Amino acid sequence: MEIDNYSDMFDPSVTVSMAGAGNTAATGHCVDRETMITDVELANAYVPFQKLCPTFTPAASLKNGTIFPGLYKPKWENRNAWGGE
Amino acid sequence: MWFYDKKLEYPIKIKKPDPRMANMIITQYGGPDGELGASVRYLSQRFSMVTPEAKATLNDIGTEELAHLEMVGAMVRQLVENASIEDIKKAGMSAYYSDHDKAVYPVSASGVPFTAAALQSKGDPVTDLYEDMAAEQKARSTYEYLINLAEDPDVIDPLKFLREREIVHFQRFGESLRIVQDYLQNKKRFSYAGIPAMPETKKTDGVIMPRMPAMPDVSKSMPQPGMSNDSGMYNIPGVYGDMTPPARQTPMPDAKTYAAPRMPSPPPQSMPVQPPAQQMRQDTQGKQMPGAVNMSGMTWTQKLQDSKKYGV
Amino acid sequence: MNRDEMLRKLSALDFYAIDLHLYLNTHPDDAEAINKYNAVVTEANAMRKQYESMYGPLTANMASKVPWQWIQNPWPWQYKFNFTLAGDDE
Repeated sequence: MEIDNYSDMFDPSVTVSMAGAGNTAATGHCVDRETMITDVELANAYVPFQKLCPTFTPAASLKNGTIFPGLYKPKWENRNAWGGE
Repeated sequence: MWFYDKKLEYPIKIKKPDPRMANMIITQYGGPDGELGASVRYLSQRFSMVTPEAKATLNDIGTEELAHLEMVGAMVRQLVENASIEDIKKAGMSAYYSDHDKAVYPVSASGVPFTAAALQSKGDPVTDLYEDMAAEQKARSTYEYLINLAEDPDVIDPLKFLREREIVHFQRFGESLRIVQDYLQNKKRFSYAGIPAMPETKKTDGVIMPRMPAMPDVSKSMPQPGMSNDSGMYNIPGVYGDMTPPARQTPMPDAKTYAAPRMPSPPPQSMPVQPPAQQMRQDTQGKQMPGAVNMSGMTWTQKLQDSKKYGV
Repeated sequence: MNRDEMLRKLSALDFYAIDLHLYLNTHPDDAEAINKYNAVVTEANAMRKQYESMYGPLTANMASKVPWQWIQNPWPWQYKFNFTLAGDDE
């Protein structure tokens, strides 16, 4: 099963259906992470919580190493993978 | 306890022997940042974890690391089993061969046998979780260096898979840390596991998460008694992706266009919530500057005012 | 479906379940994810039963024919046990 397009990797059965759930942004995008962390303590580290958004299909996810597009970070040749492109 | 599933998590099928690479990859078998150390670390730390989320995370990631240990061992074995003695000598693997022939034995790339000195089980769950996050980063970096050394796609693909798993594990440990930190520092739980959350207060709230609506009934998706699952039912729509996905309704989130999640009811907060996409960073003169979004959404002067208000 | 295709499909479904399982360990209230997990696990188990009926057990606790099936080659670390991922050029 060839996967030619990025969009072919997505599993259509996972949708964001709960109105008012924390992962629907004002613009209608599905946001797969916390974007605001409040009341933080000093000397604590905070990793943003992930929220559910559309996933890869099972076949694509085995190839990629995860079902979650937000956690798929394949590039590192220039040591930029951790911070994005 | 453990059961064995008689297949690898990700296939290893290496056609071309390469003792040079085996000599390097073996560091993820018995080296300081390798999978044996990771599984022993997590499976030992799980006994002193608090909160069920952290216990499950340590337990299950420790189990997955055993599966990765198996993958690394399979890679080393397939890379040497058909190699000639000449290739082994050229690869600088003669010392290992003298002690182990073509067997798999837990050592680092420089020949140091596996030691628990590379791991810790400190007892303090916060300390342990930070150690686990660091361990995942070390493993990720090691896989990147191994990928840099490798040329064969049969070798690179499994290494890339293992590297990506480390990134995912880091996220899970980070989430467990949030839950454990909040539990220990604020004596407050989210409304998980049947334990009611304490009412939110302005000063001592941990992370504010949107209140989930009452849990819907999931019993319809459970297998029904009496129904056979043997008839090759692959027609759960979309699960295997055999259908063409419909046109995407929700475009992929772009790192620069995040808006704040819509909350069912505005939680008490020290400042009004602004969507970060519309928010500009302000310099000290109050001039608007476009650019990267400040995660806490506050300028220094606002933070100072806020801390005075709450006597922090 | 031949053995390689079956194993490929089963590995993909099982892997999907593993990743979603780890997500659920830190998001126990996410009902949508639980629904998805239940669906994937049901399909994976069906695939597993079909594979095992043709190629032998993948876990213990399965009835065996004679001779004892569990020990049969190949074992997972061997080259010939494994399949190639879809889309890879041979």
